Amino acid sequence: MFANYLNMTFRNILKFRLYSAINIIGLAVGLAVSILIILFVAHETSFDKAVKGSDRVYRLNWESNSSGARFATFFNPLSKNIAEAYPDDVEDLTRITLSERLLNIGDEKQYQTISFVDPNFFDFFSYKVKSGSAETALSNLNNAVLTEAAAELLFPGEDAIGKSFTLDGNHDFQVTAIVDNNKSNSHQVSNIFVNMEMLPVIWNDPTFWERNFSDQLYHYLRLAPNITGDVFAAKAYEYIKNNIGGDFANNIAVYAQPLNDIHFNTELQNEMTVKDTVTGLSKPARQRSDISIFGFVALLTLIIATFNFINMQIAQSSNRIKEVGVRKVLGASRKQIALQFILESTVMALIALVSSLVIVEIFAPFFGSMLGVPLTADQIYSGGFISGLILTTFLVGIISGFYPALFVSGVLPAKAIQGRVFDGIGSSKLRAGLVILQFSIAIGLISATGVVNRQIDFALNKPLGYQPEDVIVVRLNNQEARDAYQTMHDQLIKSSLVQNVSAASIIPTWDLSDGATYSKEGESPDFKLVTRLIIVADGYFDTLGMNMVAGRPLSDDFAADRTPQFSPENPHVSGGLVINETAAKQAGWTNPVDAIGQQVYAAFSFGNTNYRIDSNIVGVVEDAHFRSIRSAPAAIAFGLGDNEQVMVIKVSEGNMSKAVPFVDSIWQQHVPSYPIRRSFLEEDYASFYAVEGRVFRMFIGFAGIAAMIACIGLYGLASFIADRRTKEIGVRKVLGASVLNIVAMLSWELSKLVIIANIIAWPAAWLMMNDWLAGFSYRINMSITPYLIAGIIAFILAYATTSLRAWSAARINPIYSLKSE
Amino acid sequence: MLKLQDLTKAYRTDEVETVALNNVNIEIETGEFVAIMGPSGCGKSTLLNIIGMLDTPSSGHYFFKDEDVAGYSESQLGVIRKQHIGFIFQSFNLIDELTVAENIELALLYHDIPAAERKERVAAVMDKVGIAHRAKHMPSQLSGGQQQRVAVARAVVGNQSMILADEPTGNLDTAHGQEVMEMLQKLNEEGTTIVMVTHSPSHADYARRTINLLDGHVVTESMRSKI
Repeated sequence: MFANYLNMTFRNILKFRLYSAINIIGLAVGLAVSILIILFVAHETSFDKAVKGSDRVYRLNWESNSSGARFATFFNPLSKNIAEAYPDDVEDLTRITLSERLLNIGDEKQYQTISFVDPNFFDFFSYKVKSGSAETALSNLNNAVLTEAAAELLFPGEDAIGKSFTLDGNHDFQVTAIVDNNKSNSHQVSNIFVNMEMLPVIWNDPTFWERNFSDQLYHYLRLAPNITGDVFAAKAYEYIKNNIGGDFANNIAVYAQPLNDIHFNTELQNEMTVKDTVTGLSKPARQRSDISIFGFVALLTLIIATFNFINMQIAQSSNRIKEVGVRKVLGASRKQIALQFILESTVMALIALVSSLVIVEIFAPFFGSMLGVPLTADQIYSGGFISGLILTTFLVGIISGFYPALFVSGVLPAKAIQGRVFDGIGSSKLRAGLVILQFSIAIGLISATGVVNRQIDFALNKPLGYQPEDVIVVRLNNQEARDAYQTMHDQLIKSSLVQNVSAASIIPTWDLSDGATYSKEGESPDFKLVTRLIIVADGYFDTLGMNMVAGRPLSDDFAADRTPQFSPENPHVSGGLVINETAAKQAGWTNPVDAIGQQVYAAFSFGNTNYRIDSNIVGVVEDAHFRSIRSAPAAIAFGLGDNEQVMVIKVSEGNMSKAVPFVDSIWQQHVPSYPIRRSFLEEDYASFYAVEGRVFRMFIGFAGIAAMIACIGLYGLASFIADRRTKEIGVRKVLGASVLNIVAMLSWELSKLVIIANIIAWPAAWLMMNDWLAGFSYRINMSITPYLIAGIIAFILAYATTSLRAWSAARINPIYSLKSE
Repeated sequence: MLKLQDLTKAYRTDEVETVALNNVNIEIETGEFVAIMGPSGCGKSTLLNIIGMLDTPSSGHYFFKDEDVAGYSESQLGVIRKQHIGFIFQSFNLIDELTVAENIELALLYHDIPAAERKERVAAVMDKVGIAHRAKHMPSQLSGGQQQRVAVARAVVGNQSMILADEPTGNLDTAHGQEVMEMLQKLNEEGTTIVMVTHSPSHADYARRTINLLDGHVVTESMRSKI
């Protein structure tokens, strides 16, 4: 019996090849798209979950009350003091900071990111030890631990254990343990670890642990099960207030950031880099709303594919009525007929599942590389995922077989045997409901796609406020280079290849880590000018193509512009200041010109000295997006001074290929001990946004596929409706209706449903997109256009598919269509 | 074998009631060969459908082997039908996706018969109707006469005691029609009860008794005296 059903199933699939192919492909593609998206969503939402007791792990953050900026880092020595003060609350504490250093192996020099960690770091973050002993590996200050990837990179083809390398030319380390690589869903990107106690040595900073206010380290705590992060943060603040107090305590707030929040927080300053320089993997933080929107698309795609499958199965069942009649005459019970239909649908759904797995196998790596996430199909076969999939498939099969089974099996055999096209299958209301639902989803997806597309275009093409083209970025990552800056500058600027050269503490694409709070003599205490601070060299704005909206740029041509370095001997300094538009607005100077000539000052005490920096605002510069286009530009103040961390070189147009070796040779000449660390601002910028852009292009592609699947189902329904009305069409023709009359009649009926679908889809999509756009500080104004376009597309598709089907139905000679009765 | 008593079948729509069969009384003995004749719309097919338990009467009694099945549910009828009744249709009603042998086997599938026995019985009945050489063919590869032979084989493979034939020769040319009638006659001689609807007086002559219907009534019954 079962064999006969299966036999029948396969022959039916073959007999209605086109129909079966469309139906199976529709479901397979829908499943594949859903699986791919779910793989991505699962990967992103599983971030850092593999860490032991991850729900109890927190990272300490602090927030500046005056600027409102919150930092991923915390004060270097304080976490240990706090942990020791509350031994019952803190199970474990570990700290890390990343620093790019020059690493030598023999004569070979390379820049590598070195991670300074506490020895318990590996245990804390559940690394697996591959060789050596990680617990004791860092007990000796000159030991190092590598990940497998780093071992392979530094010592290819060799056993790295026992091998040595040198940092900054004079600190030797020996590899004593190798741990497994960072998981792709861990926010950690470190590969070369040395003991944290080496930090003061390598940074040549003997008072490192004595400065309570420095915050270069990331501090992770595993709390006891009975205390929440918020409660602990309050205790930590209490500790600071009682033990340090003063302005410091008044100006800060303490937060315990849940470990699982790190991957979803895009707003922190001083955030740890997301780029693993050894494996090349980047793990950018995501907006939760993006991830939910992806999950939603996966769900909708699955629903659409399922509905489509069900609709097509219903449509197809009308071709089976005679067979059912024969089977019933031969003694098949209603149950047996229903079972056969359910079996057939399930078999088809399973074929679709297998096909979808093949599609996923093929596309997962490609999809993953587009999203910058290493996705493999292996994840599908793990744990509940595959059983969930199989269960879903069975459900789809059973539901889609159930509906036709219910109605086809219930037809009286006397009618069925005549092969009569049956009128009784399902209620027309239910069918109309299915069409409306399927179309609502399709319209919603198409309009959402339109909104996403416009927003991404808008965001990616928005003026950045600076011009990254033809700018070479050279990191002044050692004292030799910083000392040589002026000499290199003078030599470079003379060349016709170079338009402009400058340097600064921070350039666009970098983290805005430093801040300043300014007051104004004689102003109310409400006066607020709290900014991020960038120390620039002469020519910064010109080199980066940042336009002044009022006043003039900082320049060495004006002796008073330069702010000297303050020191205990020289606590009062003054200089010129440029602020950006946002800062000017914040201070209440709505017209940028109002800011020019304003005198502000920053005052603070450190040690026993009161410092004061007087600044004369000489210019207001256009806002620039230093970081994500999602967030509003920060208020920034620029001072002219000596803190050259990075050199920027604007190359005259078309000369980049000649300029690069020229810059390299100048570096070689003046900074012989260190290799050059150079990049192109345009590429730095692009790598910052490329992933974001690609993620949403992918979204658009998927939504498009889902909409296409919805249209396949529509064609199926149109066919079904036309089939069922063959006789009516015949009669109308005999009575004089033209083919066009009939096409118009049938199309209009389906089009009515599409109009209703629009009415449902528009507000739903509008609300959802409004929510999503709220995550962007610069966003398009929501317009009706994408919705109208989606509606029109759906309408045209509905009209085209039904007309096509109605056309062939209407052209049948009525002799045949009427004979079917 | 069966007895219809005051049997009425009416089709009702919202306003109109159409009476297809009106107070029909018919008795058919086991082993009889009965032809039902009458003009289009007289109720022949309705009568056959009710006898075949594909449809149910509106009122009256239907005694099948002394059991009144008039009020039975569809599934109850299905059980009796598959044990006792085989069908032959004007349009053959073979399933296009199944081979000749599979089409015949289908009639045994719903009977809990082991596969080996099914194969034997299908082979035997194919021999009997002379279609064995076409066992692996699809219905579409056969002539109309051959298809009807497959249908006959399917109707009898389950050892049904009664065959209902609805214009079995209607779609066939004279020669093939003759062939099918001879096959039915042979089955009748072997003891199968046959009830056949036909338009053809010459084919009705194969039956021992002819019932003439008009507007839902039995108008005449005539016995043919066998020589």
